[in-house]
Amino acid sequence: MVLKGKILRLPDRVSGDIILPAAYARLPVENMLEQVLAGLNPELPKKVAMSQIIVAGDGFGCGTGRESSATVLKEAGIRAIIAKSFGRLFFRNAINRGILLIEAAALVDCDALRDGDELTIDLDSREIRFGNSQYDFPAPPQIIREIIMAGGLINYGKLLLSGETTGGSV
Amino acid sequence: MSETFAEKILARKTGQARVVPGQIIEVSPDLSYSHDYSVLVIKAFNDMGGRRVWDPSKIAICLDHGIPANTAKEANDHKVVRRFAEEQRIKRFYEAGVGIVHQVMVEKGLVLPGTIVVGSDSHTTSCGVMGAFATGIGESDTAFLWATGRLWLRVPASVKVTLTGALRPGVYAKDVVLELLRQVKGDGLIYKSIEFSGELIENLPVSQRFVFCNMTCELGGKCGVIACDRTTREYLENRTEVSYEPTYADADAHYDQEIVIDASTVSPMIALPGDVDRGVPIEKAAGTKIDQAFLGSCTNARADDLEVAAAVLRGRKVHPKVRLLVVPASAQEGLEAMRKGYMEIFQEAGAIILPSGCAVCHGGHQGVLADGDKCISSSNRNFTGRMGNPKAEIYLASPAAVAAAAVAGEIADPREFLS
Repeated sequence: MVLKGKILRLPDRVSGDIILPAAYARLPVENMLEQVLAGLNPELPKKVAMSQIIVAGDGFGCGTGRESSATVLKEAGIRAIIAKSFGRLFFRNAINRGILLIEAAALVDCDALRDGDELTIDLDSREIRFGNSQYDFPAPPQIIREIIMAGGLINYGKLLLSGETTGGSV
Repeated sequence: MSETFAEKILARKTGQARVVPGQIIEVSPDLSYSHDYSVLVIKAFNDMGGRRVWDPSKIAICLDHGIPANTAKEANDHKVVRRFAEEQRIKRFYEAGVGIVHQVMVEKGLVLPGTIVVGSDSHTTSCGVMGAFATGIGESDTAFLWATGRLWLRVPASVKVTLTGALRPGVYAKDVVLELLRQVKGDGLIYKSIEFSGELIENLPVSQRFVFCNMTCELGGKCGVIACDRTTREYLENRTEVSYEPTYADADAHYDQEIVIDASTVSPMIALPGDVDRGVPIEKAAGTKIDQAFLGSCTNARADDLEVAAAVLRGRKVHPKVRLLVVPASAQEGLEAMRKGYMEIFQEAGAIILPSGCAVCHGGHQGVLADGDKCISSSNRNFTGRMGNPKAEIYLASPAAVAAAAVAGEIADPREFLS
């Protein structure tokens, strides 16, 4: 699987609460999209919509376990997030929503990387390519890979319940 | 041998001789619970093609986030959840007002030592207070579990936190956890299983132990556990008839990190707005005017928390420029507080008493802040926007400090109000 997309840089400690406040967690998708990261900066809902990959710092998605913080990013078109670390529950939720998560501190520290730059993530060769630079990342566990490839846990569950997979990869 | 708590319980529950940190395993939990967000779990369950839940006796649902409903949408969501519980024969369904789910699961005796507990909420780590391996999972995760009985977990590395000494007057478990957060930073123990022990823990009642396991998720932990001891057994005595087999770490287990804090050196703390790790001794923030004081949440709103706050408020009035919200963690805790006269003190002092639930803690319900408001809270998170407004500020502190600020109209050292 190869993902190519424009990046959006975000700071350290972007909490799940600021990605999407609780008041919007159960609203229709279009209302959620208007609010994504707006508490951090009112321009961000537009910027997120133009990006496919987020590059953030430490603890991205920290705090709340509300899955809507991951759902809204997926619905906004985000396909991968590269960070130094992720809030533990956001990590599960984003994978379950089919977003590829990669911990790559060296890439996050690369100052040359700006909003709108294009990155390529190759899940098979486990490489992130940016201009002439290249960053390796460790292979995600098989179960995570399968959930991402299925497009998220709901699809994965569908395949399992309909007998199309046994999910025997653990 | 040489196993941590997490390694031992996860090996036992998966029938393996040994598991190692980083390993992906599949478990079938002993208890899976959810709250109002069950409505999203149910949607995912239906989208997956789920028909019957894997085991209704292992599922519990408690409405706590948006209670009583504010809007028709919220009321309809609750209705969907009620109907699902009935159709799926989930007997452990707790109506709006019973309490905050984490507190309710523990006080109803559903969380037992040596079991695996998952909840669709980050503060599920609270249940580690009973010696369980307890962690938060997502809504899709919960739906998948309910539909298949399966859940993947990564075996966590472990950290040992030893809390020695005794608390000085005016200092509580909350102050110690804010000090721990200051030291290790928010998410400083990310993905870890945190084992709390030491003289302080041994001498604390379940209610105060709860605070450490609850705020384990602010530390970044996957789970936070306090080994089953006499206090745990006594607490469970009249709450369950089910037998249980506690799990204990081996004395020679390997920990990634060991942290020791002498509780007798901790003074009243307050976390400044923006992040949970911005703790300072409270006198450094003294004099900051506040608009709202929130005495509630799964962290600090049990009867003994209310007792401390009542001691501060007895014979005093809430400052005319402050709204004090009092929200017992559960109806049972509220009832105890009522019988002991604390609720009368709150009402007389001019507090607003709300039904047991999450209230404003998550920002979606009763008590949302205005632009520029400052709120002192006994809850667990002070991230920007957490209480429903990114233009407001939240300070975290103990119930004593919340009550003291409510009286003074500004942040104050609670020790000055406790004689």
